[in-house]
Amino acid sequence: MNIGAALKTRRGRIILLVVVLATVLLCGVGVFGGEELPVISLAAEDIPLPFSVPVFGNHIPNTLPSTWLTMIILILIALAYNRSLRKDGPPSRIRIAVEALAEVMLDFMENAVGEKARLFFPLVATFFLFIAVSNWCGILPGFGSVGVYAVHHGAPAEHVDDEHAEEVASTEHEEEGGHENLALVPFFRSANAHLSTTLALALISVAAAQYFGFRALGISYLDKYFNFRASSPKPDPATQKGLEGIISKMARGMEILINGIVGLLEIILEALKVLPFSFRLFGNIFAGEVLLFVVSYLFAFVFPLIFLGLELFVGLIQGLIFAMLTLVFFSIATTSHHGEEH
Amino acid sequence: MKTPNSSKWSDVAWVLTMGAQGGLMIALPVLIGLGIGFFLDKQFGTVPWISLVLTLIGAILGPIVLYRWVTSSVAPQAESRIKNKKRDEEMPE
Repeated sequence: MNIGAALKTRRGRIILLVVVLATVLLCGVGVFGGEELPVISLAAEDIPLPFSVPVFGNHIPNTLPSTWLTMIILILIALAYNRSLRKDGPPSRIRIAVEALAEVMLDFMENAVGEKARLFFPLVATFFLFIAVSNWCGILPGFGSVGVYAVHHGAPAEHVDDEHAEEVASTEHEEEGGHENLALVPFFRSANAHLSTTLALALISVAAAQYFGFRALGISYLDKYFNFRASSPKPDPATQKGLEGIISKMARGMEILINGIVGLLEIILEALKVLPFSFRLFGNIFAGEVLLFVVSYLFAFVFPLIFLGLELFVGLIQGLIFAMLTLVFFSIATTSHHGEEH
Repeated sequence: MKTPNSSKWSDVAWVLTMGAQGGLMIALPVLIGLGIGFFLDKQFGTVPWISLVLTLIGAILGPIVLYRWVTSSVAPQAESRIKNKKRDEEMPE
């Protein structure tokens, strides 16, 4: 849109004025128009089910349907691609699109880790696609807004002592107009806004790094964690006698001790990797959900658009960061201590 | 096939990733120490001693682990990236 050219004609100026006024009016109409701020719960809410399912019982967390939705989207695209592969003639649009995306991802990974990229590609690309698609699904209409009224496990009255429970329940009854302890439980909540999902992804990533490490280096991969060898040569009793011999033995012992401690640190580091991995993804996506909730509550029109755009960007970047980090860990795990690559 | 544009974006993503991971590596041990400490304090009724000790341990462990991570993983990777880039620039395909 060329605003400069539009301002030159009378008609253009009028249209621009109307658009600006309409936007301002829409913003004004929606301000504080929301009746009830949805309950923001850190944990995923439980959707009550009329029947019982194994593992979960008669309720499922509302991030589970979103995870299934993401899986269905990805599986359908994969099936469509698979079908287009078997067709003769010029490649179909879906085939070109999928191959272009895969090529961009592979190119990106080859730039990062070189030839090993092809070995890691299936897992890392799946991480990226799953996280990006599920984050983008999270801003679809209906996520966080369509649901049922049910007992909300995150509601504050749940944690009140028995003595005060009755009192609190009665005040809530008055305030919320009959929804005693009830809150809107949305059917869908962004899959990564559930710590269990991100924790599972992080655990898979760290476990796969160990697998690739063993695959590339064999049993010597364990040297990284249990290293009780010294790099200095063993003192020769013939040349180093007396105090000199004792000092060189002590130095060697010290080195072995330090190597052991470093190995212990490596184990702690490996275990700690899971936390930043899962917390970052969860934190970013959950914060995005809360931001969208609050902005949509305050301004019904126009303003949420800006934040929806921001969430699209954040969703992609988080997927990229997770995939890149996984790739880097895989690459480190398959590189031996002496810098020699396998 | 390596294109200069994707190489640039790969560098941007790499730096972003390392920053994101490193930042949390300092912060999380402190918070986790505080969380576990507070839980234990509540169990044993010793507020605030265990929290204090575990937070301190977290605060010490965070930078040590970050230093180990940077020296053992990030620095060699950065070096090899720079080396690869120089080699690509010298010998264009």
